[in-house]
Amino acid sequence: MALLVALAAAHFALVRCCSLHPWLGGGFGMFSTVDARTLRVFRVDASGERPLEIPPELEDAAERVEALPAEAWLQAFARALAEDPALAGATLAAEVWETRFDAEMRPVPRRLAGVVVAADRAGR
Amino acid sequence: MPGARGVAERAAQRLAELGTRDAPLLAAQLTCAALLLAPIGGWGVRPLVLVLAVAGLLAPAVAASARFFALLAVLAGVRVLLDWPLPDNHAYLLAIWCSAVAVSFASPRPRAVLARNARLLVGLAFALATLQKAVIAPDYMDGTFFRWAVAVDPRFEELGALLGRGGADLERTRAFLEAWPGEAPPGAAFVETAALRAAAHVFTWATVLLEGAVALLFLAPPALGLGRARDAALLLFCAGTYAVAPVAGFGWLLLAMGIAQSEGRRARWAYLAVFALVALYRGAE
Repeated sequence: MALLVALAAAHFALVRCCSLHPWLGGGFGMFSTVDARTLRVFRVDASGERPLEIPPELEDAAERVEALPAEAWLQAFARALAEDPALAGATLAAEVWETRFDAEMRPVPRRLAGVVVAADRAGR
Repeated sequence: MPGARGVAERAAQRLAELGTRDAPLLAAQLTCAALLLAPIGGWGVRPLVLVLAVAGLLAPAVAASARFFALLAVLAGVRVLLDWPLPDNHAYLLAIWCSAVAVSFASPRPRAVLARNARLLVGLAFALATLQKAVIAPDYMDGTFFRWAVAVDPRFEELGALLGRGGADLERTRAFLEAWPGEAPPGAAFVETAALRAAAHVFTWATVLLEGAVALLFLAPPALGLGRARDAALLLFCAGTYAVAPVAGFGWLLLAMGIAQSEGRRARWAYLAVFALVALYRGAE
């Protein structure tokens, strides 16, 4: 019983401090809130931001980053993405967004976390 | 070779034995059945869990062993660690439940210890679920969650059509909800009838009231003699929720915990029937 209470306390702390997805962890928050998180990745250059597709081999990592958008994990994700030769030397941005809905059901997105990995650091 | 009649008689005998089986053993074997029907973990954990689940089902003495459930608890815990942070509620609850079964079987009074553990675990899990919905989530009690879920979840499609939102209206609604603000395709809009909005509020309140009732009944002192009400509330929750929610494994786990604290053959049969009903729901998915 103590273990269940401790896990629930950890869940609440991680949701509050680190934006853990409320459905996950040991807090019994499934089906309590809208489940709409998105990882958006961009190539950043002088002309602005161009959205990138997440390659299939990084889908698992993307799922983890959406679940717990820690900056270190986002950095690691962006660096893994930068290993694509087509993105060599590019500056990349990775952001996790959560969408809520207002009373008229209009989407209200909120950025939970984001990183920019500069060209000289990408791929390291 | 036994004839068809012989096979039927033996099957009926086995089925009749289930109802008379000791509650802790039945709970242990239902947990094994749940692990077999809804396998857990990746390839590092799953094969061993499946082998253990089959062993527990075939050999009651194995299923009633503290070491067996301690091993299952370790594997369920390893699965949580390997998949972290992706495991949800029931992955944690499974690991804790297997630990509780192990501790109970190691005690001199397994039946009483397991029944108490089961009551507290179900009660706490439902209390937390109620707290999340009624207090913490910003978009549950106002109906937003179900207004969204009824639109995006395919299992609500038929109900949605019945209440006035089908075909093109549903497509327009999904396109609106799934688009980035300002990037919705032409024609996308949130289409909702008064009946749909009312249904979302009914689901909201029915869920939170039923979950709250299960929490209160399972956390109430046993001396109050609420056993029948406890069983009825949990059975009603499982029979209703897992017709829709895609987490049959969680339903089976709750039913195994329910049977562990149940008193009397009738209640055990009811738990077994709802366990089978959840399997039927899953087969129909």
